[in-house]
Amino acid sequence: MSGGNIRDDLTESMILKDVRILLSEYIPCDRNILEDIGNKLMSTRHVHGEFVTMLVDKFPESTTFTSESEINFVRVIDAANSEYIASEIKIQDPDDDSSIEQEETVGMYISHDGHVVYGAEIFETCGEETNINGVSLDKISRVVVDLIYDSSLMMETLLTHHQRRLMDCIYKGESRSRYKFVGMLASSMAPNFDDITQYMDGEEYQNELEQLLDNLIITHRLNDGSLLLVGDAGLILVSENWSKYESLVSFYALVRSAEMFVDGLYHRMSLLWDELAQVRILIEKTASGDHSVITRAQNILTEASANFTIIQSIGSYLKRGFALLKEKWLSEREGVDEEAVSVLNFQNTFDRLMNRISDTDIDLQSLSSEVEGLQTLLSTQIEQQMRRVYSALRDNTQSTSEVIRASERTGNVLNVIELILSGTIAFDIVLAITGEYSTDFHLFPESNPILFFTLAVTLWTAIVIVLKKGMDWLESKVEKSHLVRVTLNQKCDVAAIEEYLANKEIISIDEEFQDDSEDVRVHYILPSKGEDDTKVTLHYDRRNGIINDLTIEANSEYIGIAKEKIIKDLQSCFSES
Amino acid sequence: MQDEITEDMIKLLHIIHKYTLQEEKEKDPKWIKELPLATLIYKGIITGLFETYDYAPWSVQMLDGTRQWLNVSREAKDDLEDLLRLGLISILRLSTGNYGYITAYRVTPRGASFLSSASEEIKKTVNQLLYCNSEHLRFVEIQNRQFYLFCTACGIRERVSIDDLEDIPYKSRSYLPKYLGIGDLARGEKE
Ligand SMILES: [Zn+2]
Repeated sequence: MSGGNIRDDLTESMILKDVRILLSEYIPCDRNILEDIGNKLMSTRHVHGEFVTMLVDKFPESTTFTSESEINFVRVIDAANSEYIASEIKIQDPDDDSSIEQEETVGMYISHDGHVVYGAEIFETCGEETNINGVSLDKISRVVVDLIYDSSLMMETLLTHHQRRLMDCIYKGESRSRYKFVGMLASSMAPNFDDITQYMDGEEYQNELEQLLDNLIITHRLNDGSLLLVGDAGLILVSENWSKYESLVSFYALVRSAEMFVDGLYHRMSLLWDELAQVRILIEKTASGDHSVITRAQNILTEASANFTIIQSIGSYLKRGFALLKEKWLSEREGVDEEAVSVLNFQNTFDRLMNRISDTDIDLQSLSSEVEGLQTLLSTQIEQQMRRVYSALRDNTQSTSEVIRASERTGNVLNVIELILSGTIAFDIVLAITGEYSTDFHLFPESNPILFFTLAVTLWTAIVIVLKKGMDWLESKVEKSHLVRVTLNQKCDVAAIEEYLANKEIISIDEEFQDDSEDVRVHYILPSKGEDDTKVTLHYDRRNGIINDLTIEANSEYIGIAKEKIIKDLQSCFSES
Repeated sequence: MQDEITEDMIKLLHIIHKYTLQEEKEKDPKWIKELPLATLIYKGIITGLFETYDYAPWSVQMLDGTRQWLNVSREAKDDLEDLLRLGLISILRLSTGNYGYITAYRVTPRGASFLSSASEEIKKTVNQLLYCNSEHLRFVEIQNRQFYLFCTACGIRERVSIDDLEDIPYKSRSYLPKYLGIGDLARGEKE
């Protein structure tokens, strides 16, 4: 074997001469995008001819630029005001084995309708001229793979940022590995069987053909003697007169590649449905009380909405592009061999693609309403959660004031101790100034120190007990007050409520006007039999006539009775419905 | 039937059999999936196990729906179809969670009885590929788009270069179809 790093012997049973590879694919494009790409390539200049590189200058301020030794060079051949750009590209794939000599020059044509054509004439393989000695199908298969891959790499450097996002969406970030339907044109092929079923031998020949074309679908000898072999992944046209079939092969390859593109789009839409289903499940969880997942739902939905926008954009590009391409094909068709068109069943294939593209609208529309619906649903949930946070905050404020009051009472206890202490100090100071002062009066005879000591201890004990009792009494008052919150959400008669409130001792009223409600919070005191008053906060919606909730703060023993009493009073305000 | 079956087909059948062998009778049937099988076949070709097989780069649909270029054997695919036609293996098509499809293979009872009468010599050479040095059956592991033969008992991984595409030297010049109406394409290159 001559050349290459092939680890296995090739079986080279079929030899082609004068081989041209024609790859066609669809890439979302429009005139503005093409203008942008043209600027990159300096295509608007009147004189074309120089090769330019597509490298990115990371230090634009510096005077010179050091390029890598192996890069792509692009030379614009022809360009028409944002309609199309045709160029010639010298490809250097940095991943290719540098010990293997490759001179890859490829023609590239991109039109504003999204049709991209890559073309290469293979004139030498393994050091042999293909026009004279021919090239085996096995070898050419490997050349084709190299071209498919390298053309994607090269295209990547030309695409705009927006196009790259669209391509990444369709091919899930692996657009470099995308497949392109292969069109191959050759002037002759050996062996040249008269009976074309011999190519479908189920063994050697068929295997070699299917290595490039995948499952063979069509083998046909056209009237002019041309041979047409079509598989799931490519086609070979062998004809002395191959140039006659160029446009058909180019359009056929485009349509077959675009089918894969639409497959990718459909696949991406299916995944989006899955993402949206996940959001729906999370929102349902939120609605049933698990609020921990709301952020996750929000993140997935944000991502999904972004993907939807991209998918929608791809759908619009596809529809626009193929409407234009259909026109183009209709005008091109006149010069094309009718027999080949019907053997390829091209009209049906094209129509089927057009129908699939228009059918994506159905999915896009329902996706759109699902995204919208979920957004509304989620924002409702978020709003409700915020309300809950707000009311929890309000209750907390009340508990906080309760704590403050409790500490005030503790402060009272401290005040008493402070008073006693200051008295003691004052006496000490007075004694220090005046010296010990004593009278002759003695309650007990001086001669009895034991009695005196006992009396002092008793007196001290008595004072301690009195103080302790006093403090306990004060502290017990601290814990007595309780808070109960009752959610009612009952329809009510607003006039009746306001009448009920009229004879209450009202501390404050908070009113909050919203688009669809008028929230009123009335804080009032109910006189009670105990030492403490019962404090009540009544929250009702004046506009819609709803009692939302009730917060009662009272003595812990009394609070149950207070709650019952207040609710009973309020029941007279409930509407019948 | 005997003369229709080549040595390579027996080897292929033996590989499938080894991986789908049931330990106890009542268990549900086991299948070997397409991609791991293709990896073993590739390894078999480059080590000289399969004499009539050849491989070429092929754009293979991966489990996540993306594509990857792998060295795949057309002849092996053809032989699998023949084995199916002869009733020696059965094929299962299953869908994955993310809208992809997997093909899986297993040996039929007929295939198993055919194998039991096949040459022990052939089976031995196949086993050299499938087993590690300590006689454990190795499994195919796919991680980060790379392929390995992995022995769980020894913890040893061997990379299989199924994704290393081979280049051949060639030269091409740019070509665009005439119908596009592009001017002088090969300026200065041709003639
Ligand atoms: Zn082992």
